[in-house]
Amino acid sequence: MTAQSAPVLEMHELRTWFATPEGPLRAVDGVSLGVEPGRCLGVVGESGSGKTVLLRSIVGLLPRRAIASTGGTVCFEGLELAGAPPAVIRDVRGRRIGMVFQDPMTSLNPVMRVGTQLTDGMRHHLGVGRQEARRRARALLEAVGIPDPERRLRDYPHQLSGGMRQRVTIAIALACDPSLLLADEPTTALDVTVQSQILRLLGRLRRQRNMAVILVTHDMGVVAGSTDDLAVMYAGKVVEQGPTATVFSATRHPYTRALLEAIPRADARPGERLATIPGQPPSLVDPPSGCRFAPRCPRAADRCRAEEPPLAGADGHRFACWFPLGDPEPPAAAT
Amino acid sequence: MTTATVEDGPLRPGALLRVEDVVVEFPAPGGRVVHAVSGVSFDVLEGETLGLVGESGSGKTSIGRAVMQLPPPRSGRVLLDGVDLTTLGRRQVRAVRPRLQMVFQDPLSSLNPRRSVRGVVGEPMRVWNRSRPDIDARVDELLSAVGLDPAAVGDRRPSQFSGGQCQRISIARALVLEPQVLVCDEAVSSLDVSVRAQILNLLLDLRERYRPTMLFIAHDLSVVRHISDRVAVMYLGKLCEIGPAASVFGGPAHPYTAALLESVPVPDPSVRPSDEEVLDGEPPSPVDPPSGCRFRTRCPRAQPRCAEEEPIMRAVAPEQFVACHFPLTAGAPRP
Repeated sequence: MTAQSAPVLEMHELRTWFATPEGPLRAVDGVSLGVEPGRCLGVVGESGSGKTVLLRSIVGLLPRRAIASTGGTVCFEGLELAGAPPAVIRDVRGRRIGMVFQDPMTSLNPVMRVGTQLTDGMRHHLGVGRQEARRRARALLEAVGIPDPERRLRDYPHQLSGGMRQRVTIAIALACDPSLLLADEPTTALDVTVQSQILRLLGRLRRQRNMAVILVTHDMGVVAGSTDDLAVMYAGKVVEQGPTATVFSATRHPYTRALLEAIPRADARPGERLATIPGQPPSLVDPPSGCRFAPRCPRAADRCRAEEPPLAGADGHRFACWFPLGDPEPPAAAT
Repeated sequence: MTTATVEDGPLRPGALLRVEDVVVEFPAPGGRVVHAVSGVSFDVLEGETLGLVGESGSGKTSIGRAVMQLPPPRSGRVLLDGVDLTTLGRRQVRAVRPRLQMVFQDPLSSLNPRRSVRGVVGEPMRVWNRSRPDIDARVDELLSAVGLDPAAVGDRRPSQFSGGQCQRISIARALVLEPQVLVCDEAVSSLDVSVRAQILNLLLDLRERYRPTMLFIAHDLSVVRHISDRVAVMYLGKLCEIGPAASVFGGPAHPYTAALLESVPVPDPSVRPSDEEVLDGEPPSPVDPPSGCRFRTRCPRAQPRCAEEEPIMRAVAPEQFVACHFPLTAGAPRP
């Protein structure tokens, strides 16, 4: 990819805590990430790692009443989104930031025609006339690979297949020519052959439009094939981040490695056991002191349980670990 | 509609489970019929694991349910140890049920939320009037076998457990009656990567210990490759290919199998997916399947013959069978 340019989006120490009867739940707890034009940042993690909440925090798509406290900054094209008035965020959301979610059936309105849903955003945000919006909608459907767009504009979502629906939600996300696309598990509900079509489509559109993309997924395979940069989340924090190829080939955080080793490999011997991570993710209401992965980490030492490791490193590859892989094992790596 | 006869197919003598020319159909609105499974034959030897892969709508779950007689197939035979289950009356099927057990996808909804873990796992034995001490001993044994501490978890309810732990409970319940055949329908699909690895390891351990014959239904090819001795690939209600896992994954003969394998994202950033589409379009509706070969509408190798004549199962390699006029093997006729 090209040399680094100014990031489209930059988050600094972003924090979203939810209110629960037991106390604040630290869903996103101090995340700093950025993404440049034309690049794709992958955010991976297991359920409950905070990846979806992170994405929704950027555009304020979280129920206000559920939030206990928020913090940090989200700078989008020079505009501060964290704590901005709802009207400001509403103006950015859907226009300069497009969004694609996991389930295309629930993100489309079942009683509105595809054409109306596609043109709504353009007419509202860009003040485009009916005819012009219609013309652009046709072009968009063509761009996302939908045959016979004129007919599809008159269809309702239930008349489309799963893959077609996801193409429509992508077209809607692109309608106002956003500079940033947020995609939350956009292919998880799709079959594998359709997934590969949609990932290719997203890659193509990103390059054509020099658009920045943040792709949230649980699938290391999707990340490997579609992203330039990668952030691995665990228990509300980024534990490792860097260029995707580096994170895969020179993994430094034990959690990242554990995630990679838990995937069945093509060259495994029949019946070979997979590497697993003992235990379960910690409670985010009462997270462990020190490193949050320490209770499950094979390399954990006393320091890990006492002191939280900072996210640090060089050459854009950062990791939050006191005893990263590649360094000598900690003294007395006993539990 | 012509289908492969038993002689043409890959059926072997002495198989524990034998599915012959099974047809499953469901009524669709307007008096139409969903052809979920249209004449599928395969068998599973004692102690063997057959992986059944396919995308949504391929009929893989319907086959699993037809094996369980839930409900019995519309036509065709399901033989367990030589006895055709489809000819049995309700009482007789009930008597056979303990020998066939199933693990479902959603671990939480397949467990009764109001029963204790001990109650859930022991219920099948209670149904069969086993004695209380027998039940207690066996439940303890199985809970330990699936990695749960009977004393600690026995009196708790399913809602107090994570998805992975619930799946352990489901597996314990399925094994409590020592079934000959275990049908796993997407048993690890809803689990996180690290938990999925734990459950796969557990299934491998239990297979060594209890030697059940397994029908492992899943859409995830890496998982199926890891656990199966043989693999059957389904597309739109038909079997495309069946054979030893190493042959099918190593040298797929059906163009659909090849496309499916190529669509799977590889967790390695140095293997970048090409920009070229692996497979266009999406599977057609099972209400109105294409004539001839059902894959021909998306097949890159399709010829006029594929529309006219349905391909029958034939051997392309030892124990590897494919239903294709122009299979992807050396020496085969090229279209």
